[in-house]
Amino acid sequence: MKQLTETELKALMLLSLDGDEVAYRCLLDMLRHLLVSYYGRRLSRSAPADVDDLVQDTLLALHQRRITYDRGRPFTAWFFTIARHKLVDHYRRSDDKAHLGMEMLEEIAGGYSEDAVSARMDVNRLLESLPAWQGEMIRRVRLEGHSVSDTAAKSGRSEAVVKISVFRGIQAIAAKLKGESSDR
Amino acid sequence: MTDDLIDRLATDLKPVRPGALGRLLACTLLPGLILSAALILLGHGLRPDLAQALPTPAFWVKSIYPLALALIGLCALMVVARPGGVPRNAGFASLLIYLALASLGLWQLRLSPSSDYPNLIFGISYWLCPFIILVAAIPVYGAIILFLRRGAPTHIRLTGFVAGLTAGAIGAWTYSWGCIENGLPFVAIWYTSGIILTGLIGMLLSRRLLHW
Repeated sequence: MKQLTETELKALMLLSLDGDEVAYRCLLDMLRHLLVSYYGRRLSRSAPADVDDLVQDTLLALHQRRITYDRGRPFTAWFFTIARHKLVDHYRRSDDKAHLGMEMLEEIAGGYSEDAVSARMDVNRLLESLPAWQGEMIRRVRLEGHSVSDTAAKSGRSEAVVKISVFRGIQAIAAKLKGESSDR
Repeated sequence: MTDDLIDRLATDLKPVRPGALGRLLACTLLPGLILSAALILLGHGLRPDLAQALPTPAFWVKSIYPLALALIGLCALMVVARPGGVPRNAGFASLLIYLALASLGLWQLRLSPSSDYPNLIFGISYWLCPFIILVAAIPVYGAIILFLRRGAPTHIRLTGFVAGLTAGAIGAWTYSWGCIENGLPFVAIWYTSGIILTGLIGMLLSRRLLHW
């Protein structure tokens, strides 16, 4: 299945807020798949039933608390802050202190705070400066955490090409950033 | 299972208008505010010398100080009600308001003979004042909790603290219509204590009340 980007998910969310049931159904379905991989990667030792519970719990939270979505802000940041909240709560309930500590540290180190959101927007801006397919590779491998082989299979390119294009793309971004800071 | 859930949620979809969160806050807050005013009016009473107090600047400073804090608190509530929300400027803004009040208080002391100091600082009700503010804040705190339970706060203790402070500031504002003290140092010390006390209690209760 194709992964939707922030722009597309946000468009679906805005339609849903206006009461478009078809868009909402589509949005929930997309998010469900995103959540399965999000929780799946973080609950390696737990039963798949836990992942299912968390996915449903998060979708329900989105539904009940969609009033808190600010139409002017990025959608994925809002949504994954809810997902993270549910995850931390799950760790806390299952008394998994080691995980909890790590998750909290991650949160302090940036997480989905306002700064991180604007950083994310900067990242999107930088990715847009690359050729579309290369930006997409970086987005998948580095931002969404898909494996290289997964990404290669989905895009129909070889793993080596994916690795190289991610590497070159990041180099290009780094060069661009250096240029930007020396301009100032 | 998840398919059923998605089906149910999609069928249940109702439109959310822009600005809905702000309207929700206004609608839940209003009954809390009315109840708080009723508590002060019926349980304590308007200050008997209100007619003489109305033209004095001290009365208005005493009323505007908690009102200004309450407005900062309401803006902060709109931030903490959203996932990941941290009201970064609210603390600084509140501090400025407090410093303004403290300067006015020191100025008032300078203009007064030192025999008035005990009256301006302790009045006759200093030990009671924070607790009256706490009581006047309870219905407002309840209303704010109802609001937040429909929101999605993720920094729970911070959210509880902001909820308590805002309720305390609004409680202090309703009490300012009943309180007979005229000293601004009194307001700076005892009103602020009442508001902070409410904030701390709000923070202590937050885990239980705001968990989702």
